[in-house]
Amino acid sequence: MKYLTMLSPAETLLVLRRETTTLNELLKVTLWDLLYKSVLQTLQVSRQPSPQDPPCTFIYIVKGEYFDTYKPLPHEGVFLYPFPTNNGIEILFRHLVKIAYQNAGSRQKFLHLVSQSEQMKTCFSQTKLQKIFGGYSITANGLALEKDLAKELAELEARLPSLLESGKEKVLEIYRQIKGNMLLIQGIESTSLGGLDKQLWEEVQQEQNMPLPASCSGTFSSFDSYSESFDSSCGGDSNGGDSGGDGC
Amino acid sequence: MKEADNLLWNKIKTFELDDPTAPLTFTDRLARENGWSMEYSLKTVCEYKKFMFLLCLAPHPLTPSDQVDQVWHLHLLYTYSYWTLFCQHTIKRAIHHGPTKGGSLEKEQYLDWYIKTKAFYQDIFEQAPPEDIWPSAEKRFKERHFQRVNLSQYWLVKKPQFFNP
Repeated sequence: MKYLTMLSPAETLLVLRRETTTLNELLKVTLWDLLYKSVLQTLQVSRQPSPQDPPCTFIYIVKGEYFDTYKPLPHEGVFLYPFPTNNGIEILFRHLVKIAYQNAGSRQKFLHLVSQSEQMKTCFSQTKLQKIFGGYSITANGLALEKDLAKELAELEARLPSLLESGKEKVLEIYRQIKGNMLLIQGIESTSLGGLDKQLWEEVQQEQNMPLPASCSGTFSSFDSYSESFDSSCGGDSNGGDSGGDGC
Repeated sequence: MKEADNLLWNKIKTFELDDPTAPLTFTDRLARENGWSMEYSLKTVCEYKKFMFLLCLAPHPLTPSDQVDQVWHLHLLYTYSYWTLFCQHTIKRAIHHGPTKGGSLEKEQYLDWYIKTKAFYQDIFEQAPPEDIWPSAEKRFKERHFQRVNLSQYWLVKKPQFFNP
């Protein structure tokens, strides 16, 4: 396992699924990776606005332990720009997702950002026309990397069931190495893995101080409860009525 | 900042205007109605909270920037959040919003208060208010030609820089 430990999950997606990867997927794995690396972290706060109101849980994203020393990749900036100038700022998860969508601009622009990292520069090229109208071509280096990455992922996916049977420590070790790329392993969300994925998820949460909403089941798929915002952000501005029932 | 002021500032800072369960939150609406990005909207909400804190401390009247005023207007629409949760339970005082009555005397007065507000901000927070939310007094009172526009019936085209220095 060499390349999965070197590349961010968005870079892996770019190399493996160039045409089919969505902005939603790319942003989701990027945020997850930043959370896993403790560049950002989640903060769950329960507040009771007044004695008459029930307590309400808010999930914020705040700077993580390694924020100040981390050297971000170009595409990771969409999540990190709102933090440096506002020391100690807490941003509601759903708002940060919306900010990331706005900063990303479009799938095409975000893919371009992903392709600008040192690791990716030799994997993609652009002709003059592609620079004007968008698009890129994969180079021989990129094709070789694609092959190696696919092989590494396939090997991991094949080994995963037996690794899980032999104990979670080995799987956790792999997680520590490949960080956000773990989301790209097909078997990890499979229900056939029984309850082990839940235990693993809880371990990762404990290690990385990543609390989840109380209503979440605690499995890997529960990341989707966070990322519903990713799905709704695209058209989120238009939903909901303006003034509810008060006629304002 | 005194201990009591610090406590009050923390209460205001952590006061949440957004209902995370609402499909359209306060900040979503603020962004949509003003044509602002989400990032800028969050910054203006933060500056609004600072302004509210200054109002609690100031021995003289204060005037917000237009951006902060827009947050204030919208918060006033959320009457339960503003009057009950914020004024009654958080800052424990009623802060009323007083629009100008018009005329040159009022204009001068608001101009003076705006300058004092920015100076007071600098004193309390020990940093200059951000220019993109707290513009110069000249700009603040010059760019006041706002109108509600139905974007489903009108196109908006930005004037060239020459007409819009």
